[in-house]
Amino acid sequence: MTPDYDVIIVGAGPAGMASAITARQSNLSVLVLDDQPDHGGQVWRNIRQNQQHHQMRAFLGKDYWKGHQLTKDFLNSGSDITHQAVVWQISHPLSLSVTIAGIAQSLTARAIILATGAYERPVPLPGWHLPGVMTVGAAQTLLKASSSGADGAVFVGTGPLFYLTITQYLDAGFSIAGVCDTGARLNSLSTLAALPLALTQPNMLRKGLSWLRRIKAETPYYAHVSDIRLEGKEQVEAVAFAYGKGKTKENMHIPSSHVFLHQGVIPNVNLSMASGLAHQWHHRQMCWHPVCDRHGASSVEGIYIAGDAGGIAGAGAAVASGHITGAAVAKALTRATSPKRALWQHRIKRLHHRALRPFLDQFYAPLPETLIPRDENTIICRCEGLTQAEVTTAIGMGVAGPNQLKAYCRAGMGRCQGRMCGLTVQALLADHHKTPIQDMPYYRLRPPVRPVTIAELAALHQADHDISG
Amino acid sequence: MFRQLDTPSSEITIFWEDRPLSAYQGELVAAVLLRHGIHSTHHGQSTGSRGPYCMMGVCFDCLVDVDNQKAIQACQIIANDGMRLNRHMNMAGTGHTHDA
Ligand code: FES
Repeated sequence: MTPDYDVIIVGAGPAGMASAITARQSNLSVLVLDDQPDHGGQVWRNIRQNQQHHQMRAFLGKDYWKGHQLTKDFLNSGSDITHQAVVWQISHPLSLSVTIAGIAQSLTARAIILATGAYERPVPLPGWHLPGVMTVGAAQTLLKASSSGADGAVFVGTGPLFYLTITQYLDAGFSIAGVCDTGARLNSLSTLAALPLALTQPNMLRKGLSWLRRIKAETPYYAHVSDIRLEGKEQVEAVAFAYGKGKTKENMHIPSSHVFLHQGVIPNVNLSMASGLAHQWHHRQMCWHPVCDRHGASSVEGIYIAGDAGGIAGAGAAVASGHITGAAVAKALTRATSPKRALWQHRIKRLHHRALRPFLDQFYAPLPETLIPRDENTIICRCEGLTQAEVTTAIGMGVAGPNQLKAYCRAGMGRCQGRMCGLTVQALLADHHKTPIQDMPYYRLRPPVRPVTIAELAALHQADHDISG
Repeated sequence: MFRQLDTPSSEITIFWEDRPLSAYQGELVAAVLLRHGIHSTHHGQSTGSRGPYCMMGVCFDCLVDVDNQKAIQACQIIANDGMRLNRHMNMAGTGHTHDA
């Protein structure tokens, strides 16, 4: 049976769009499945509509509008594009199960590219489950998708997205009640060691510094923030924290009904893990990466990874990596080679964008109290409402690893399938057993990676039966 | 409370627990709720009140009931005129609810 498509790409963010464009240049048939309402991924979210209000929404910034050309090329590439399509399983040889508008179907391809991007590292602080507490990325999404923001919010965290979003908030004219900076520690040898390479990208460094300068001047800014608690009953009412260093440390309390958290981003690996691809622990980024070669070929024949789904490097690197992987797939399927010059340009671009990353990873490393929560009442597993005390009690009963933990306390068995608790559970287990973190496995993930209804499954089986029968 | 900077498109009406809310064509349901001060969209026996956290489909804390469908992610769907929304109640005591 001939496959439905030569290439199916999961995700229409920077990497997914770039790989579609390149694959189409070799005349391959391409289907792009994306779970969001429109293309652009999280970085260029809603760019099609925002373009029409360009003047009014200038606050989104230069880097955002850079996405315009690529999205235009993508729409003109001749790829089939389906949005609000939720892929929940990949089977071998290459077929994929997807739900579109409530109907499940199975599609086959000669190659699959996973460009599933990244999501924000969970921030298990006391009270992070309260309504009104959201991620900084969520605040930015509301700005892009709905041109709305909240006055009087408190931003807690660190990292490029953190400073960028605050700057966008300022440009859009929202008042900010506090910026609690948990990062920017120039205190380790490894951070200093990463600096020379970062200095090869002075423009990007300068951009970061100008954001910070502006935030310090225009908001109530607190540096070296720790001991954070989000307080409130039915919803968040205040942020309590300490700031400053050593003897100058002081406590602070800011009332607010909107708190935005950020501790960096991590690859979205649920689908790649559940599809049986090999993964490895990345020390510097403190998360799992799928194992792949420099073209994006994974450990499973025919499945490729492009962009941040393979490791965090940002939108610029994701575009380059999408083109590189698109070319690799074209070569594998048609033996056609892409023009050498274009390919080298993408490789060089990717190198440039990656040069800053080791420094950023170290400088904006997550706050230790968010990696291993010490407060007993902090929610670890949001879906099941499990606290740190409940999880550590279960671990103390002799649980060796994350999968066994599920049987003891249901951690990781809710709808999000470990996305919000997986790394914390791994860290708590490693801490308890005094095991190096990389030796403690992650949850064993199985498809479907999204909740699927019985009706959907039944319909899928019926369809399969109709085809084979 | 979230406020909108500009008027992006034509106005429509959706209903939250029978209360009419003004929304815009193409607006995310979670965004509409937040603009009207509704932070808590679902309630679970073991979790208490929850509302949108990630706005990108990964946390599953923005669940609402939409027309006749239960436990839909409010950050993943677009508002339609006349849409009827209700707080999603999960009294099963676990994060799994019955969808069908
Ligand atoms: S807000 Fe996280 S899934 Fe909707």
